[in-house]
Amino acid sequence: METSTAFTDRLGAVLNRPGVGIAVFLVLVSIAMSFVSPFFLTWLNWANILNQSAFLILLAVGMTVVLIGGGIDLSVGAIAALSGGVVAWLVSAIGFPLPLALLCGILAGTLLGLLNGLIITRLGIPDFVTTLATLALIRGILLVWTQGVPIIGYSSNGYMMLGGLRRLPYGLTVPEFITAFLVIAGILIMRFSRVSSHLRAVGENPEIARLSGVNITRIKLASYALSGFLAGVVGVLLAGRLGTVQPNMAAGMEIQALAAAIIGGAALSGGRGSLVGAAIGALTLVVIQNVINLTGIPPVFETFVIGSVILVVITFDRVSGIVSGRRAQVAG
Amino acid sequence: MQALLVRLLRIEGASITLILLLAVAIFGSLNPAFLGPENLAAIAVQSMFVLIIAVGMSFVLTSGGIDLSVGAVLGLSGGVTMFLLTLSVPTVLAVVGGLVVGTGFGLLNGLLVTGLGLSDFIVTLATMGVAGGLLQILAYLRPLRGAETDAFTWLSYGEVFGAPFPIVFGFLLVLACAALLNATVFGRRVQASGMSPAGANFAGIDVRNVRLMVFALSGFLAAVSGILLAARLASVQPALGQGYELQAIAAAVLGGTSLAGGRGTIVGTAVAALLLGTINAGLQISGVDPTWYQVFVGGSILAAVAFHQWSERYVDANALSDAASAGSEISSNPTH
Repeated sequence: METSTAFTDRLGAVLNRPGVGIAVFLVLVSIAMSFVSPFFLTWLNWANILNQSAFLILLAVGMTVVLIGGGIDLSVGAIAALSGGVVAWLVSAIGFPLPLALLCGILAGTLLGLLNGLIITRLGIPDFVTTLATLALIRGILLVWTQGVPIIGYSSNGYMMLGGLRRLPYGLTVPEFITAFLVIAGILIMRFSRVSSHLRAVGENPEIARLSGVNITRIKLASYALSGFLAGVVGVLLAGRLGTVQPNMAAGMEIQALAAAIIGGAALSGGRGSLVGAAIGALTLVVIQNVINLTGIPPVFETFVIGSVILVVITFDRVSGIVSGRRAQVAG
Repeated sequence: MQALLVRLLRIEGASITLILLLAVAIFGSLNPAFLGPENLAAIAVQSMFVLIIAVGMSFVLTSGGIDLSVGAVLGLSGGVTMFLLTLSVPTVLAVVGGLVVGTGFGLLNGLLVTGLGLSDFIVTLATMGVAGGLLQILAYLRPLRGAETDAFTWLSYGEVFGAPFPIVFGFLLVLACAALLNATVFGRRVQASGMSPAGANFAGIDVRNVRLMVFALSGFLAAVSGILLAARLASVQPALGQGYELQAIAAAVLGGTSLAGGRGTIVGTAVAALLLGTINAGLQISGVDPTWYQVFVGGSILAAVAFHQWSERYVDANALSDAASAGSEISSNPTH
């Protein structure tokens, strides 16, 4: 590897960036699929894929921020469900106007995220345990509150439009724009604000970050509040799309968001992660589901295929990293 | 009094045992039927399945790893055994088949983590999907029920010296695993690997090999639990084992095993698994709306971990003040 030319150096540098391996995989799968199903590369199919992936992308981005800060948030699926439940209940039972209800839903999500952060920073309970417990708590509260009966009767044309059930011209949907806006804002903040280097410092080594004058508590609180906020946004939009809030709404989405964040280059050990990578990771998971649907593989194979593909992707990513001489890296 | 409390809190699993006794006392006072020996035995049997995988999880966590696939591997191993029984394979071979599949998944996890240096979290997340998916496919191929032999049923309903076999088995397993972790070279290596992988390497420990063995053990125990559960339920549903991994992690952490690695307690884990089973059964028998179970589990995990950390600080503070008061008469009041 010592005699590498400028070209392979640059290739190595590109492949080193988190999320590139998975992006290459995504392109390869898309090319292969275009031969299998002529429908795959149509705009209509991709409009579907984008609409379906908008929510997972938001959760994966929030998860990535928490992961970079050395934490983990297992409660996002439950927070999304409760936030959606708040909107549905406020509109159907209390008669709140939709915008106000949406605000309350997102606020509920943000506060729950803040609660995670407070438990972690004030009580010193590990992130994993805290959010595992609040996952059970929040889901449990929703179950007790609804008595297992779905909340209905809050849907309206405007809300369906907001949730992406109704389409804008060109098959685009509102959640796609919201997701694009939030992700781009996140990328800009991560690139140009000091907060991002503080976040990485906390994730990499909290003690050194503290000695360098970083307010760890504030960074942790902010990252969990952000994760809760994004889960809240996802929840209120999802409630609009589904037209009913089941107590188990968005169950298991935290695992998908984690998987997306990690195949997008985030490390569970903290300090490393990429928002673009997380978005591509989430997109990949949705594309895999789409491929399974299009190829007519029986649905019982879906879990198996997705698990296998994640294995292949992370192995592929790792091997390409080894080939390109990856060492300990700092994410871009 | 203070010294007694410190000494008590220092014993492995003592604080979680106190909480378990407290929970039993509360449920018993709410409904005396709760304290009936048959009810307590039933709760213990119901707790065994999570207990067994939680013991495996404790080894993995102590070595500095995590295994999210245990729930799915549990389900798949039970499913494979049941599948083989429906093909009229002899019981012993069917059980061995389940054990091989579970251990194989554990080895696969270990090889991917140690061989390729992949994150254990994401590897076991993926194998969770693979194993769970394979069970769905198995259940799609043929219904996994109606083929139990007497010997298979005995695994969960048989009695040894008047005690249900799963309880006897779980008890012996906890003893053996506690000895393995605390009193053997292997156990020391597991702890050292979790405490400081680099340090363990310098000390000449093959950390990769230790982690491989630990994942294999976790897969094996998941298989054991899955086979016992299949025998208990007499059928295997496609979703069997889903969410068990979180309960196993909860039990391990409640018991006092550290998610950061290096510190683990098998006895504490086992008692915590019993506690989770007790809360579940206690809520039902007290006529509490079953939807509250999750709220209680979530709340109790937080409370238990907060209590655990308080007790550790309490012990540390008072161990210091004990040492200090031996020399001078400084009486420090341990308030935090």
